Order: sequence, then C-alpha cells, then structure tokens
Amino acid sequence: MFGTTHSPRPRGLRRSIPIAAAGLGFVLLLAGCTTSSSTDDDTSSVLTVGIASLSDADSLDPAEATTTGGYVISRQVFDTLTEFGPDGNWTPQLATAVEPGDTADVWTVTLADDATWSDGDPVTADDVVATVKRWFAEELPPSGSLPFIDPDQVEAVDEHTVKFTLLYPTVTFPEAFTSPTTAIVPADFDPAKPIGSGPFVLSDNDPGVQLTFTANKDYFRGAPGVDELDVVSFADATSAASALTAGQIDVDASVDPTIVDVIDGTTGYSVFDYGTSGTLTWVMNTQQAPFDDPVVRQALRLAVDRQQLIDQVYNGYGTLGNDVFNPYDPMYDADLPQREYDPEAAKAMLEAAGYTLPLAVKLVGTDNQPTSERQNEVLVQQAAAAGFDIQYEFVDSATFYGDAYGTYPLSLSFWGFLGIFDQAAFTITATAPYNSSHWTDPEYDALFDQAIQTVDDTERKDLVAQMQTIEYDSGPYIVPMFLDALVGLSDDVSGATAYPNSDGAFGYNFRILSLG
Amino acid sequence: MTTRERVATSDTGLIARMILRRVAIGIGMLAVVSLLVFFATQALPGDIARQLLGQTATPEQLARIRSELGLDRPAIVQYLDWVSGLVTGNLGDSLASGTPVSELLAVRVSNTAALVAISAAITLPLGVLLGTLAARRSGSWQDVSISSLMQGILALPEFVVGIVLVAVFAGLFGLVPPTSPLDPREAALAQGDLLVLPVATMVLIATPHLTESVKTLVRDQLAGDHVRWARLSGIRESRILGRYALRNVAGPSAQVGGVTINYLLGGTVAVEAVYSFPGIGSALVAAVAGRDIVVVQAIAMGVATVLVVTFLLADLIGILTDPRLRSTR
Repeated sequence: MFGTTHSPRPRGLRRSIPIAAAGLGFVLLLAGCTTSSSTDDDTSSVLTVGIASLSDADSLDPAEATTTGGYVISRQVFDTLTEFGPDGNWTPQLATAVEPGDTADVWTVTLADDATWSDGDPVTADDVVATVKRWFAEELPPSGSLPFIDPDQVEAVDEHTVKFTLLYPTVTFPEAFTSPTTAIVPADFDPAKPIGSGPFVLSDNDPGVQLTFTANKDYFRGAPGVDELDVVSFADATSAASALTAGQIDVDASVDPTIVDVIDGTTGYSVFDYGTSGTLTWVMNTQQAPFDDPVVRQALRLAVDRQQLIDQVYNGYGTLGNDVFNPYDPMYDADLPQREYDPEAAKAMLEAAGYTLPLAVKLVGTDNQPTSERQNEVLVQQAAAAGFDIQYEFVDSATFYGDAYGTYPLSLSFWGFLGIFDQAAFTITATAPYNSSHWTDPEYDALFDQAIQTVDDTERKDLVAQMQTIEYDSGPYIVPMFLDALVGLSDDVSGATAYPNSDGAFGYNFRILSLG
Repeated sequence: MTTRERVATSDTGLIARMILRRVAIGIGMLAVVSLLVFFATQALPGDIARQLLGQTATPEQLARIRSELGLDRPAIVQYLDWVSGLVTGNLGDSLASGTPVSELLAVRVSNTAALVAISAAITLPLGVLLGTLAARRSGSWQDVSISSLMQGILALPEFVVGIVLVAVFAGLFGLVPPTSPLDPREAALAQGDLLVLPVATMVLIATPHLTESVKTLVRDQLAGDHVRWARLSGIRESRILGRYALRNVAGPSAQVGGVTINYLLGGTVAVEAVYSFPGIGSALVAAVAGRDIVVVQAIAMGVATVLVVTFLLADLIGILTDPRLRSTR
C-alpha cells in the first residue's frame, strides 16, 4: 500500500465536494422558487379549502359517510331532500315541498322538476324510492336512523311525487332527511363512479390527500360561485391556519379557538364566527355507581363552571349550555333557569346523600374534537372544588370506540346538529341506538311518543318542554356549552353564511362561496 | 491466466455466494417482519368497523362491516391470505376505501421517495464532508464549530427543527410556504417550493448523526499506525487523508450511509406531520389511527423491504471496497 505515487489529491474528499455543492445549490434553487404552485389561468376560479383532515375512509357512497371527507363529498356531489337552512330550521332542498297528511303518518314529498343528475338525466320519484329501498335492503346506516320508515310503503305517485306511509306518525319526518347520509342517489347508483345531482362533480379523488370538484354549471339551484373546488387535507388546525395566512388556501374550515386572534390580526384574513347546536357533552353512565344516583348527576352538573370553560378552552367562542340539546330548534325550552356553577351546593348534596368526599370517578376521553382533551382537563380541575376526584384517561379514537365503549362511567361525546327529536331518538330514549348513558325514564319515553305524533306546534312545544324538564332535572348528559363554528377566510372569499344546525364550515355548503 | 486474474475469479465466486447468502437472510428477515407486523396490528385495540362507525355503531352495523371486510375470519386465515397476496405482489385492498393499496399509496410513495432521495442526496455528501473536515485536526476551529453545531441540532426533536424553520423562513422572511400539501395531480419535483422546508428539516436532523459517525471513522484511521508511518515517510497530509484514511473508511461509511437512509425514512413520520406533507409517513399515522390494518401492513412491509435492500447494498459496497470483508462468514 505504501509507495504508490500517483493520485496527488485526496480522492474521496475531492469527489464529495462537488456533490455537496450541487446539493446545496439545489436547496438554494428550491428556495428561490417561491411562486405559488397553484397559479390559475385567468378564466377559471379555484377555491381551495383546507380541512383537518381527509382520510382514506372518506366514502363516495353518501349512505356510508361517517367522516368529515365523506360529508364533504356528500354535500358537494349530492342533494338531500331537505336541509337545515341558515336560520336553523329545515327547508326543502331537492324537494320543493314535504307535507304531512292529517296524522303525520303519511307524507308527500314533491321534487324539484328541474333537478338533473350530472349525466343529464332528470331526478325522478323513482330515484328517491330506489334510494330509500337501498338503505333498507343493504342495511346501510340510514336504515337505523329512520326507524319509522317502512321501505315497502314508499311509492312514486308520479314523476316528481313520492308518498311515504310510515310505521307510526312522525312529525319530524322532514328533519330526518337533512343528514348528508340520506342524500338521494340515482336508481342505478354505482358508488365507484358516483353520479349526483349536487352543485359539484367529483373530478379527482386522492383519498386522504385532496378532493377536487368541478362546478355543475347546470345545478338546479344555480351554479356554484367558483369553477373548481379543491379540498386539501391538513394534519391539524395549526398547519391549516399557517397555510391560510401564507395564502396557500382560501378557506380554513375549522380554526382552533386559540388562534382566532392570530388570523384576525393578519391583514387580508379574518375568522367567520357563528354559533351552532354542536356540543361536546359529558355522558354519565346510569348503569354504574355513582352515576346511577341522580343526586350525583345533578352534583356534577353544578360542578361545571360553564362560562369559565368557554373562556379557558374556547377563548370565549361558545354559548352557555343548560344540559338540554339544541337551542336552534324552535321547540327548545329557553325558560329553564340557566344552571349556575355552585361547587358548595354540589358538595352539600353529595354529603347529604351519604357520600364520603372526595368521590372518585373515572373519566375516559379521546380526541373526537380538537378541544376535547382541554375540555376534559378543565372539568377535572373544576369538579375538584365540588368534592369530585376525577381520574382522567385519554385513549386514541379507535380504542375509545372499541369494545369498552358504553361501559365508561363518564366520557365526553360529540353530538348536536340534530333536531331535538332526532337527538332524543338517537341518544336519550330507551330504544335509542346510540344511548351510551343507558338512561331510561318511562315518563320521558311516553312524552316523546306522544310529542312525535302531535301535529299541532303549540301542543308539541308544551310536550317537548316537559321532556326537556326531565332531562334538566335527572338526565344523563351534561351539556355545558355549544360550540361556535370558526372558519378562517381570505378577504377574497365572499358569500359566508351561518348554518347553525349543520356540522362543518357552512354545513360544508361550499357552493355558496365566491372568489374576488 | 495470471495470478491476479485467478484471484479475481475466485473473488467473483465468493462475492456472488456472499450476496446470495445476504439476500437469503434478507428474505428470512422479511418473513419474520411480516409475522410481527400482522400480529401487532391484530393486537391494536378497537378495529376499523368501530372506528368507522364511532359513536353511531350498532351491533348489526358492526357485524355487517366486519363480514364485508372478512375481519370475522380466524387470524391465521387472514394472515395466510395476506402473505400469499404479498408473494404475488398484491398488497390487498384498503379496508377503509376498498381501493387497492398500491393505487391508494402510489402518489404518496412517489412524494416520500422524492423527499427521502433529495434529502439523502444532500445529507450523504454533506455529512461526509463535515465529518472529514472535523476529523482532520482534532480541536481545530473546524472541529469545534462543526461538532458543537451538530450536537446542538442533535439535541432538538424533529418537530422543533420543523417549527423553527417554519417560523424563520416561512413566517419571518416569507420565503417559502409554511405547509406542504402537495397537489396529487402534479409530480412532487414540479412543486419544488413545497419541498424546501421538509427537505431542509430532514437534512438538518440526519446530517449530525452522519457527521459524527464519519468523524469517528476518519479520526480512527488518522490515528492508525499506517497513517503514522505515512507521515513519518513525509507524505503530504492531503494525500494521507485521501489515500490512507478515506479509502479505508469507504466500506464502513456505506454502512453508516445505510443507517442514514434508515434514519431519513423514520424521520418522514414526524416531518410529514409537521408540514401536512402527503407521503407514506403521514399515511402510516392515519392508517394506524383509522385501524386500516391492510394499509399499515403494506407500508410496514414496504419500508422493511427498502431497509433490507439498502443494507444489502451497503454490505455490497463494503465487500467490493474492502477485500478484508470477503470472507464466507
């Protein structure tokens, strides 16, 4: 090895220098390319919406939509018969009228006569009948949320009229068709190539990354405000907010309350804020001690400082809750006295009932909403003053909804965006399929059965007030507050409108937005 | 045939046998990995049916989805089904979307490949250069400044490096976009501005490890008897470095390079999360959270295969550059 005389320069070093230089040069080159990659030509408008997050579980079949992306797809590509409008009440969408017979067990739905599928065919009564029959034949989720429908008693009266003869009278029939899962699909629907009647057509789908929609210029309610809609997935709320203020996206669909001020303080951007019926509600399991005792349930309700919760976790963006659901439902009982924070009264109640304080309780939570964890942590602190020793356990979402779901003594669930009757039918009555509190009250169920058949609004409102009083006095849910929808917008975006009874930014009705 | 030619021929046979042996070990390792991956994903609490339906799960809906996806079959049947698919190149269909995994991940694989390739193309020469510079004279200003800089970066987690870069280059100077939601309709390389911060983060987190390893290797060589003899013989320092030190570290450096690529691949999980970069790192996180175990298994096996091949290549480089490694053992 010694003694060789050629190769006067250190070879390895000499080789690596140009490569390193080329590499660094490449970085500088990249850094120089700071023009936006989403430059559009002059003629087409592209609205880019950032959302946390899309997933490869986003269903192209609206009936199977369970995720944010699934709801986004349903709202753009399809129509529901009815929707919760900007005032929170249901309004016709694909239907022009939804009318009951004398007893609310027969309903007649009249369809818009100018609605067409994106392949040009008209939307007909046969399509609606086929959609409903498909839910039941394939046991898709809407079959569970519409227990009053008899699929054999849904008939096309003429090309634009459908008659539903229900299993029992249901005055809330029109509201049941607001959910994006109940979107109407063509009779020959193929989920792999979804054809809808909605304001957009899905032109490109990269699951979990980006959804690209093209405007349906022939949309029967008027063409959407932009030519193309790109819905882009972000890992979390913070990165979506950074992307908004850097001009990478036009709309940040869900702004964390703690960064509203940052966006509002950035020239050219602001946060559109409106109240909703959405809520993170604590569920008390009435099959287990200590929440089998109504005294303990009432004590924990008194142990929540609701205003402080709104201020601490939500930066003030939220409205007070009163342990009953949906203030945007016209039947909501606003006369119930607002429950106040009173840890001393809670403590006294528990001691009078013979409990030794502190009373240990296990709370299980997951990140079903970005603020869930913070909300749970605040409860742990607040309830301590009322004599509760809450042991909080955080688990990931799949674990939370795993086999142990429904057995937690105390847990935090995301609900709302349902009329009072649907909320009760889903989560409160004895037959509610998603009642993880296992609470039952025959008096409540009797009132519910009576109210849902009562066509007269005044009479029904009185019955609902009695139902909500029972919930207020002994129910299984703590509804501490209602969430605000916080949507980050570039100043170029116009058309923002509140949809208080629909989940997601503007109920994911992106057709209402325009650019420029 | 000259002696040199005969030695070369026997060397070729030896090298071929060594490569075959390593390929066989690699395949065996992948088989073990497949077992670990499959049964680890089976052991995750909850399943995709629960995750899809969430709080609106009913026993009937859960049973319908599990039966549709074949999750109600015995685990061993599912494993054999999966492995027989793998052998024929079929990664299976995503449980969540029903899309073939190969189709679902195609764009993400090319995005991550671009991210790792560019980062490696910068990190490998940069690390070797810095490591060599630092090793040349122990305690020199180059050594002290490079080593302290590298130690400083090493002390920071990936996401902190990412946040600092975003704050400075995207926030303060507005030079580059703060997030990297690559448009799936375009190639990653056509969206260079969106690659700058992720690549810079990857380079920053991987270079210190490589620099430190190369520094140690080169310094050990420079302290060796053969270098001392060369110096005593009056050979120039630059020539000593190239001829007597660097040549001898080529094999071990290839190993260290393999480790660096491994490290870069692992870094994609954090880096892709920080920048909302649509690659396989973020897909893995999402698939685990969503219990899409077919996607988790495909990514895990894919990454394991890349690692096995990388180390195989590093071994090969070592064997070819250092005759001492050419033993049958």
